[in-house]
Amino acid sequence: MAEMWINLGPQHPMTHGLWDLRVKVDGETIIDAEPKIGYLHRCHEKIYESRTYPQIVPLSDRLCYGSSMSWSYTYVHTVEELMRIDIPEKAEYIRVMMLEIQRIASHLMWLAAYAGDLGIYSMLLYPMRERELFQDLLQSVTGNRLLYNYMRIGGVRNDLPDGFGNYLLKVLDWFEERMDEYEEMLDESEIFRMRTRGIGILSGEKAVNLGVTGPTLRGSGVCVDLRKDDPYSIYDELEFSICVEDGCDCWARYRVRVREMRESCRILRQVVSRMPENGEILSKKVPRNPPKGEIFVRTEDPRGEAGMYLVSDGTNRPYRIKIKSPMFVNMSALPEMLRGYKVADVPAICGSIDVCMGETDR
Amino acid sequence: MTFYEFIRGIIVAILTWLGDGVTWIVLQINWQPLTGFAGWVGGIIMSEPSINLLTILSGIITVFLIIFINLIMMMWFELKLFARFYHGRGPTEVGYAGLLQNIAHGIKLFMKELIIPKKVDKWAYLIAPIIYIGTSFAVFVAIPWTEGFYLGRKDLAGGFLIVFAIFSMAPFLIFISGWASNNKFSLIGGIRSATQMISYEIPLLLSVVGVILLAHSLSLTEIVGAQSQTLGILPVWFLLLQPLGALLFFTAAVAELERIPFDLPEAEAELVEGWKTEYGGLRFGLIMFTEWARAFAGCSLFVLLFLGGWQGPLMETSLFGMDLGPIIGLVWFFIKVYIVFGVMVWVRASFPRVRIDQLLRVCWNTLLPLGLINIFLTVMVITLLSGFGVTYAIGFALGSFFLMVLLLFVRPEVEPLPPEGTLTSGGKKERTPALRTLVLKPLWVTMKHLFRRPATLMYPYETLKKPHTTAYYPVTKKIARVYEDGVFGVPDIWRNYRGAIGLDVDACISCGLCGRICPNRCITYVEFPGRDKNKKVPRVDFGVCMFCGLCAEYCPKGCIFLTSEYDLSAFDRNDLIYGPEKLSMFRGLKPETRFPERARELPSWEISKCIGCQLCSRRCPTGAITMIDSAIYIEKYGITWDETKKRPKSLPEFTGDKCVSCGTCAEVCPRRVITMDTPDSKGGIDK
Repeated sequence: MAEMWINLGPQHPMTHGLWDLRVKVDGETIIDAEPKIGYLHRCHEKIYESRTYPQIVPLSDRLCYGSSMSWSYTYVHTVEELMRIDIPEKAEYIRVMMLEIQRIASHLMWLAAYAGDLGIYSMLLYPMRERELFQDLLQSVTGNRLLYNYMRIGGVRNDLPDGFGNYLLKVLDWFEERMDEYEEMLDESEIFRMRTRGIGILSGEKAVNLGVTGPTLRGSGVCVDLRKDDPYSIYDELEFSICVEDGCDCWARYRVRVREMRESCRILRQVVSRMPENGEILSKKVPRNPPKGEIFVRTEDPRGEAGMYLVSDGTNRPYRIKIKSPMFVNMSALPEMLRGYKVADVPAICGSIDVCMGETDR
Repeated sequence: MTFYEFIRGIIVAILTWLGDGVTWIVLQINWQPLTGFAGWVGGIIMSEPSINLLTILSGIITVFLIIFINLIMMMWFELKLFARFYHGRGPTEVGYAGLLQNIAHGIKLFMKELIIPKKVDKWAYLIAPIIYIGTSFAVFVAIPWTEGFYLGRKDLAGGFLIVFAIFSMAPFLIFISGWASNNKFSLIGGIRSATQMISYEIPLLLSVVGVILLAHSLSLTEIVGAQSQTLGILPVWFLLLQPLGALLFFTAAVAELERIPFDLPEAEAELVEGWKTEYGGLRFGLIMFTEWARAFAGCSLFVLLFLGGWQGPLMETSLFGMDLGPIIGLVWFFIKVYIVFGVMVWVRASFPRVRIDQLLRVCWNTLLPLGLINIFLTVMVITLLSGFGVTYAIGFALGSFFLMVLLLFVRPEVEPLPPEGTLTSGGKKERTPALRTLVLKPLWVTMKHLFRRPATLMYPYETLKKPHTTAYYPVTKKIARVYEDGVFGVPDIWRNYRGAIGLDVDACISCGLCGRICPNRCITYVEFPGRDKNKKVPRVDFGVCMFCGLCAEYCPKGCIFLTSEYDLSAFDRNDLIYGPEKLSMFRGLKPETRFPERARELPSWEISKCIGCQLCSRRCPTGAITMIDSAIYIEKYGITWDETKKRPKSLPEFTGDKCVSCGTCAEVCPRRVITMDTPDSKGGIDK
């Protein structure tokens, strides 16, 4: 058959989020690919120019709805760095706790979508069931299950409920048992291995050259994690390891994320044991306007390196915020990962980089 | 008595009764031409060919009805069982326990429009699914459900082959449907489907050759009859004698029926519905229906060939002298079919999809050689051990089990992953899977879930009152203790609602903070009867509101708050704009939220710029700014006024205690005299 372009079009059950993937196929083999994005563009950066700094916090949640805590943290951290204020210790611990819970929840949703794409409908629902536990945790703290509006410039919105630490530890114990079940279900399933090993190979060198970050990069053997290389908040006081795999394929990325969930459990246990009992949760020394200047801050999102570049002109509204989204860059590496594989591998590869259109299109 | 004779007896009885009635009527009328005509018609109807025809037609209709109802039960069974494997409940709403769900689906599809896309090949598009549906149901002509269940007068001698011949029409018709749909994806789906089905027919047939050799016949009734020996109480079914054949048949049947793990042709993740994409309405409904009919046929064949068909205990009973054997056999048959189908659903819940080239590789590289080995082994054992006795059975079973164990634990050499940058298609050898890891662990995990209480929350009957109820999770004692400890009291959790906004109108001071802080600008201000016209109260547009809670957080008096009311839907968008009266409805749901004390920003005046317009003082909601005479002001605060500028009559004085940091004064000042300051300031004059 001649070469033809196929549209795995914007209306498609497989694409998580709204984007268009055009692949050029020769029979069943993909020769080239072209992702087309922009269907979910909501003009975040322009809207931010006409909102005051506190008003932007709930809007920054909506950048990636799958991991909204980490995006609002990125924004709040950027502003705080520019304002050069100190955050109370308890607030830092609460923030790291929320970030890690959000990381687990985001990875669980990824796992559910990935296994569901590949055809195991039961593995679509088991991680979602566990994610409910973490969403319950977040709901008890913030009141909302998905878009939290919890981070504030200078701290967090409200204190944790009483006994939250104990509850969190119980949830983690339960969760780690369930993780063993997921690994049995997927690791030891030959069909799953057939679908993901050797598929979507992206070598470490190419990944670094393309600017890929996050679990996609760590699955290609490159040991980069912003929480260790450029630590922010209290990450330099916590003990955890970076999860790296050498395989460079979809299987490696899957293993990286599963191991990251376990590392997050470890971090959470440390945070619970070290959290100060009493303390302020919102700094009282937050100025209304940041000083004139510009700053770029990056954090480790569940999908990679999220960054915000803020230009302030001294008023109470930002002059310009530029959002650097990890998924935008990872998606540009997709054609490299897709070349040479079959059309039937497209869900496996696209799923393994954890597509979230909210932050790609902003 | 066979089924045919049974139906014939009924038809003859009905016709005789009708005939007697008509005869009586005709004799009463007593009109010669009518009598003659009635006699002639009666002669034709009661003649042998006519009764045969009526019997066969009635038999077909009866069988069709039984299949229809059975399919609805099978669909219900699949949905419920599948749901249990993923820890859910399946349909529960329509009918008791969801029994009428599929009828509801059918009615829904019936009511949809039958669309024929524009450039399809019209006749092929319309006729191919009809033949597909027809052949799928025609298979049941040759599948006996119990002793003596022939639709014709006697058993079909080549029964098994006829079933497969009719079954094999499907790939051809699927391909035509996919091609005729004028859709790239349907075409690809049709090609994949046809390839898969044609390839898997070969292992399907090869796996049955062993059974045929053992039973010495192609007729399905005789194959079931050959399984009636027993070894003590253990019935010697062909499952024991041909375990390898049974496994092969099951795998190939799952692939023929296009179920997971072999359902890539219709994988939703890629091709929406594959070759069925362009069909809609009842056409689509009937095609989906026949998928289950084929599944029923496949499971029945497995039961007949390997599980002893309709044999089971209690076959010898009789009631009032009538032999109940066939009816009991029918019951056993259906029980066994449902068990086999349950195993198919279990397999569906546990495995991912196999890619099309891997699928074909499994067929040609693994299943086909295994089928041939099975035949070879069977022939060897038959020749070496003669007589159909105990030794026969044991010999077979041992041989096949040994072979299967060998296959489960032996794997071919593992090829290293191809180097980076090379294509993995065309010519590179990939390793074939080992059966052991393929089946055991995932099946075990899903089986464990079958015995747990479902984790589904039946909204709105059970709403989430606590973060966990024990209905959520498996009810082992250990777990129940974990979640019933009552770590939080319920009130503590729900301080932080994110539902509808409520308003306490009496406490509102009209500072305007909520409207100013809302990121989406969903709060506007309107007059409220009984209040001063200038003291407006907020009105919220819930169509725009994102329930972020900023208004509740910034309100200085706590008169606007988020409640636990989440059901706000309306049919008209304008109904979503809640005025202050409607917002006051939620007054009783005010939660006890504890926000931390925020740093207060107090205004400060660059007093030399002030023109004395008095706007700040008039607009201040709490009266923290009062205007005093400028001469007194200058004296009090010791300011030197530049005499070249006109000195205003009065200047604003600020009392910090009443200020709520709403920022109204800074917003309304025409000369931008006022700035809201850093929290360390005390406000007031900025000299």
